[in-house]
Amino acid sequence: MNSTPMSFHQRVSHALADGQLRVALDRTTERFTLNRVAGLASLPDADAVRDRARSIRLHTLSRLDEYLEQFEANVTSVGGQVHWASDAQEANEIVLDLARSRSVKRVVKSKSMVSEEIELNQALISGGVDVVESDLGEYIIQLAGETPSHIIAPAVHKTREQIGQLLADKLGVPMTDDPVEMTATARSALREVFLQSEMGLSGVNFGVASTGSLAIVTNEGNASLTVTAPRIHVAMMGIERVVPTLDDLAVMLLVLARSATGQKLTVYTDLLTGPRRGDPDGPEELHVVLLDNGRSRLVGTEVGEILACIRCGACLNACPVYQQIGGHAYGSVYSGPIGAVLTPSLDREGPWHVLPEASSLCGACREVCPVRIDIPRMLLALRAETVRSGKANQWVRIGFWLYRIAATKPWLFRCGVSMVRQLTKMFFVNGWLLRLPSPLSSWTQSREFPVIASRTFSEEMRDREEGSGDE
Amino acid sequence: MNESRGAILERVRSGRVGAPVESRPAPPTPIPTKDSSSLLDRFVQEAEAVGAIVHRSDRRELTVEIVLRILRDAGVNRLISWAPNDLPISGLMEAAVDNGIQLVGPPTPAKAETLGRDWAAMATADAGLTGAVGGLADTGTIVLRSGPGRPRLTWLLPPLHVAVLPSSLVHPTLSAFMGECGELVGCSSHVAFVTGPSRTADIEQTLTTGVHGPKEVHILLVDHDCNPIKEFEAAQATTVSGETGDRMSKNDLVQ
Amino acid sequence: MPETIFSVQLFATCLVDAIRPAAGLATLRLLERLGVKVIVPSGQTCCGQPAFNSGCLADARAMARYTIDLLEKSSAPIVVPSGSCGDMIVHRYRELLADDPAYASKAERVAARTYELSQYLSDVLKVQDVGARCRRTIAYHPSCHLLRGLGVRSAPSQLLDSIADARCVSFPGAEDCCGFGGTFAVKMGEISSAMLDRKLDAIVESGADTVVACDAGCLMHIEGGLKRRGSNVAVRHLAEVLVESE
Repeated sequence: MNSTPMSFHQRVSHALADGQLRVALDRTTERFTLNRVAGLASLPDADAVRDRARSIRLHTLSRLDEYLEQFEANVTSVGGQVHWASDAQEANEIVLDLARSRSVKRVVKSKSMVSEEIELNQALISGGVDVVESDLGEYIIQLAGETPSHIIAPAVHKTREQIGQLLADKLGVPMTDDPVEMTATARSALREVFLQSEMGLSGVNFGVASTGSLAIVTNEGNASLTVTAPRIHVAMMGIERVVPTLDDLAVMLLVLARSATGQKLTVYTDLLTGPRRGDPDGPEELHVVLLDNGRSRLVGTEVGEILACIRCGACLNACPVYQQIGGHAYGSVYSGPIGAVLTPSLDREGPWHVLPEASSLCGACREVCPVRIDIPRMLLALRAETVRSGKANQWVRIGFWLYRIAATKPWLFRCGVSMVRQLTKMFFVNGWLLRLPSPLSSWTQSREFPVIASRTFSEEMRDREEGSGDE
Repeated sequence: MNESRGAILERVRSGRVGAPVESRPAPPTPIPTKDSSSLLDRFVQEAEAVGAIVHRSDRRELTVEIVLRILRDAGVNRLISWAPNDLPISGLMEAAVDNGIQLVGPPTPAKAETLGRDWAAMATADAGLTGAVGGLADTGTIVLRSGPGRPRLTWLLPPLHVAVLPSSLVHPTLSAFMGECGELVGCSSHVAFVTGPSRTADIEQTLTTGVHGPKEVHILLVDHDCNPIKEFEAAQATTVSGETGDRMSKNDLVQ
Repeated sequence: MPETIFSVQLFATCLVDAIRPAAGLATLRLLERLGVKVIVPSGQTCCGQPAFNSGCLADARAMARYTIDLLEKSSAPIVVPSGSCGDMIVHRYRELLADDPAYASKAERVAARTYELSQYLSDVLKVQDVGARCRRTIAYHPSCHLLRGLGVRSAPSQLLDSIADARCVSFPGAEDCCGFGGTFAVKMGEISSAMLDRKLDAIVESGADTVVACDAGCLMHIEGGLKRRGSNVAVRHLAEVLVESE
């Protein structure tokens, strides 16, 4: 996965300074958060459902190879073709080969995080195949040449005026800031694309092993059209997105939309089982591309549970860090708490070890996750791994090593505290430090730092002990 | 590519080594079904809550009348319709034609004829007329199944969608539907669960409808006798009764 | 009135010790006032959470072992005036030392008898009204490890509601993280400050004249921000307001 040229901290500064982004994030995350609560409240026993959903995901992951084989067998038996891709390059080659061999000039796409992960659009375009995104938010950012900033609402960072101007510039329509008009513009522009593209490419929310079915959910209906009108349907799926049976699928669907947007069900839930069978429409060919790209290596590890994620986006909405910096700051396709675990886990060699640090471990994500993934635990595991592998900041390591030595020798601890107190005495102003030296200076950029007490608690206790002789 | 298949499966297997297999969750205890009238009332309530327009009919003549009225009020000139044998009420399509509405899309015979991939004619339709193979009361969802004589574009392309749903096919929940009709899903190329009209809030979180799918969805809930839907006799035979637990399968989820 | 004699060990925590001893002294006074015999083991230093959060597990383990040895000298329950240190001892110690034959069971034992202060008052002593009195308008900030880690939801509010003459006010985003997060406050200083700003805006807007929390880390972060703003809103540890009597 590529990261953008700026460093994480630069991206963060940039995001924090973007007042408009902050307003948009506030509005969106708050709305989704409230909706999620209401959505789950409509279930008589939401906790039991979440427990079931978690159990289904973990069970599946614990027999993932068997379910994948079953899934493949059933997709094949209903006339579909399954392709296995170890990495991004292979996946892109598979799709490009299919496009070339079937004389595909244009691909219409519905939302697929996996396709963004592997940068499929660029690969297709370089290969001479045109690609058009059909999800309204994705369409907007495609026109703008940007990447999505939220799993569920990709254009959350754009105002209506910006979008209106964008449509005017790129499509030659009159500028408007009315969402209804803009939606109508997009609808008619994309209609042609749906009906005349040779290949439709979609993601997969869940693959059902027992039937070889693909479950795809949207509110717009763009996926429904993507998988119906073109001659060839290619479905991109991470290997972890399989569920055993239709009954299990029903459980997952109970929590997916409620956690994402608060709806009980998205407007369109499409279950596709093989290409057309004597139908007047529907694809002639159905191809499922199963993508590994680092997932298989996570099975059974400390971060293996991240594969249970169903991409609802609830953790993004709940995360106080995401609420401040938005998705682009994370620098990769997956942002927020899920991204902070998934990105460094899938791309071990990449520049991602700062992402798990961008968390105060508040646990809000774990509270809202429909499958109860313990994200803070995994962030800590990743931090420990960074230290173990020698990639951590050496000053931090030295600092804690020294601290540990002092903390396991009480007299040394007392001396240390005393010494720091002495040293900092001259910088106090009314009992507070206004400026700390680097690398602690970021504290005092916005806060005063308290002084060390003139008598620490343990000094007080020792005084009493010496005084009373009782304790 | 076969190499990748083997390599991927091998990596997954070796990751699993030593880890306990998590057991499947036990099936939940099913909730007894409420009586049929409250089930249908719930369906209507939920469907209206997501923006569908629900009509009810207890007589064949009324059903035809309602469909014609909807089409007339919307100024429909061109209609895509499912084949007559695939609609729950016979004569609907014919009535539309008699009222001056032009049919576009696949020709009327029940047997499948591919259209080639020229969807241009269908794209000019003002409305699509379908049946439905089920309804979900807790979410106000209609279930549509593609097949010969049942093009998907009927419920996707036109700005107006009219679905005729026999009330006997309304299930309490998605789980209930899957429990009973799972096999149907497995043998259909496309089963769509449609909950209200197409919508998005991608522009500044402002809700707009009719993005790509229909802007208006009408559900005609009919309480009178309907044609048996082919290959689906089993569902037809099941009636919503006051009996508890009747319509829930043993795999059903606590709702 | 049962004849049980309550006896506890007080583990003050490093931040209370060095930065906010008043909270430790108040905790001591409060417990004694309620008839609890309090032992303060000498040689306390740090539970090891900062090292643990930074991924320095070997250092964290060393501090955990040291602390466990300290606390195992007595079999009395342990009271900690900090949600985050409480969570560390209760949940993380047993995980950190699960593979250490010498310490695994000790860690379990210590975890099983460790309580955060408000948890101890509510679950063990079963008190809500400790006889405190002060004229304050209080905004309570639940720290993340207390709320979501230890699951302590209502005890602090119930204790605060029982203070005579005090009024508790709610504010939006009360359960959101204040942005301290230990080393996060420095490593991710800008984000931490942005989170703090939001918290402070809400607190100031609520009309409270006092912010109360059960964690010295949150308190020093919030107080540091309020001071920088020139605000008069007071900042107190739960123990400090509970020993007030006008």
